[in-house]
Amino acid sequence: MNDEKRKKLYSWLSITFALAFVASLAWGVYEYQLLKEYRVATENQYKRAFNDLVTSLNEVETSMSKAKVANSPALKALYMGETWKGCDSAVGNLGQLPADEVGLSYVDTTINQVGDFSKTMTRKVASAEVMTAKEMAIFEDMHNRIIDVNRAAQQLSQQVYSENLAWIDKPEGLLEKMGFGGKNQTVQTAAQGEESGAEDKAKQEDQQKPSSSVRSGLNQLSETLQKHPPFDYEGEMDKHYVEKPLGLPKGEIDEKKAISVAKDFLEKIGYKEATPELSGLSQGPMGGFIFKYNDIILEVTKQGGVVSIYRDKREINERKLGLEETVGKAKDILKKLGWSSMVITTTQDLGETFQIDAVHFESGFKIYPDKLRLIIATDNGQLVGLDSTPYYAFHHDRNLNTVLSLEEAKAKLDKNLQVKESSLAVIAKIGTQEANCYEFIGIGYGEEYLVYINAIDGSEEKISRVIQTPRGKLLQ
Amino acid sequence: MFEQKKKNQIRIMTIISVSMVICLILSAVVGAALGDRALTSGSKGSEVKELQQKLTQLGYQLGTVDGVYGKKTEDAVKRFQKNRGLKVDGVAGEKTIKELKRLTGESQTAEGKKVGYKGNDLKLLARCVYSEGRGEPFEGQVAIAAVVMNRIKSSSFPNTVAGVIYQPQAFSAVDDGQINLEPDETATKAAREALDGTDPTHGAIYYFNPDKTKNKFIWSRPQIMKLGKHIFTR
Repeated sequence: MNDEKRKKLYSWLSITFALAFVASLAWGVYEYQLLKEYRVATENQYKRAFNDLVTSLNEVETSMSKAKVANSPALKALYMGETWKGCDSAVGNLGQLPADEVGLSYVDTTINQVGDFSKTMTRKVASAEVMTAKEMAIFEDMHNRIIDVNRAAQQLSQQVYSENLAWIDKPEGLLEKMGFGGKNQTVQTAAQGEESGAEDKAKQEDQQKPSSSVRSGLNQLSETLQKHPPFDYEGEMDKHYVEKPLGLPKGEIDEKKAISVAKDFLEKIGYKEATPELSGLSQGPMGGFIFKYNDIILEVTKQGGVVSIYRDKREINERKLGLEETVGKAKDILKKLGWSSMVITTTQDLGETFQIDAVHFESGFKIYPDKLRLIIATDNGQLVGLDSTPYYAFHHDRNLNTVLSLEEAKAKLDKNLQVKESSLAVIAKIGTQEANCYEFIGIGYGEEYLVYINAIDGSEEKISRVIQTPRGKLLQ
Repeated sequence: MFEQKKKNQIRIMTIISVSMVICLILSAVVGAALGDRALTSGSKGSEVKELQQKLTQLGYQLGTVDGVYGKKTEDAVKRFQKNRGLKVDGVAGEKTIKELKRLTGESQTAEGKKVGYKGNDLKLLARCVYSEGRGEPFEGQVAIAAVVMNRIKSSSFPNTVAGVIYQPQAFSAVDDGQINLEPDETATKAAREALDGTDPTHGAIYYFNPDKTKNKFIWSRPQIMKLGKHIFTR
């Protein structure tokens, strides 16, 4: 290669590199701009949620104050309703803020509980009932805690605007771990400022670890709220699981007994000589033994030794059965399994299966909380799914009485409702409470409704709207 | 000469007739509605597109909605037929299309007023189940959906399906964008059961994969059971 050629090559190379460099630079700038836009959009979302949170909390606190002094059902119900609505909004906004762990914050819990309680009270005072002294005391207690939460939120809000506070604490970098780097801004919550006593003070200092984020401020507030005793409220507000199942038979069983329960169950639904194998144990009040057999999974409770969950994922062939035949099969299965007291309430056509719900029936009452769910295959009518956990969670001896007659209860209905069917029913209320009711199924305003009138005091307990969906009737 | 002229006339007439027939067929195909004819592998057009849209609406994955009845559409039709207890032949005939139309219809009041599809939460919940638990046994997928429903009931979490699913750091599949994957029919079915109240976890509000998680907090929660790869905790 002579000099001329080499020169040419070098100049071409330089031009190519220069172009590549310029292109990568332009690409970098473009990406940076894009990232910046996204960051601003995310930051705006957080700021909006936080701002809405602070506003909602302020409204909740104010409504609570007014609800206490309101003396007419109209205004008391209005302010209780505003409290409930504000709590819902606050929890929604809180859930949009960045977090390090979820489900741990007492801030969420406190606001949700105030929301639940004010929802119950809204209903109570709207029906011109007077809040008891105990309920007023709980509400007062709740208001005091909301004042703390609100003050803390206001203070954080000030810092967000004046100090551009971060949303979450950044994990310690290498420099910080080596002892370099300054300490971050502390977010001290207003609620903490109120604490007193040596022990509290020590904890307070501990909680005031250097931090510089909204989340750490909320975490500190959560720790403060955690120190308060739980609200003394009878209704079970957190109802995601049943602590004491009421319907499980007494006594505990061992693995050997559980195997025989599983075998017996499988035989009754058409699997003779089945050999279920233990695949695991489940813990908790409804816990027990989990078995597997071919495509089947089933669970037998430790307490009482009953089948709580059963599922067969076998291949289901072409459909042979319609609704009526499947319901007939479901009734036979219920009888075979010893559920003689159940009545079928709803059915859903799922194609290769029907989902059928049945409830306990006693002294003319449909007991809705004591529910069983059956899934029946439409190829041969075999049981391919069972969930009896609601039944065992809630079944107990009840006082199934009425004070009102059917006609008296009917007189409480909207005059435009044409009643098609009526019966007695026990329905679940907020928490673990129940109500003895008359159930009226009727048509009004072009729609079908289920209206429940309390059979003891005549109050309208619940309304379900019936919608015809492609899969069957849906209660809303 | 005369014969030649007659031949030409016949040729022209034939061409005109054939073109008219083709035009008629084409217009029939273009304006055809789903259900006018059986659709099968190789079918094309707006009816196929409508069929694909309806299958997708019910959670049957078939790739792109392109109006071409290919292998993926045929498979989706077969899965739909299987799930609905119909004869599994991959041909969208009268029964299959009737069932598909029925299931994708709007909900109605007693007097027949349409009130919408009522499936918003189901769609999102199915996406959550699919992105978090595809490959898990069916019961494990119902359990994931049940955790979302239990969080709604719990006072420590937001109160809506979207609120729980999109809570930052709540589900890894949301944070890494997998939540936007189209769910399959198993995930949709699992989500529907949980929305209807089934809870195989007896009240779990967390779950984790023990092989992949070292997080101390999640290991410290009271464990309820193991379903598939996940441990469900309170």
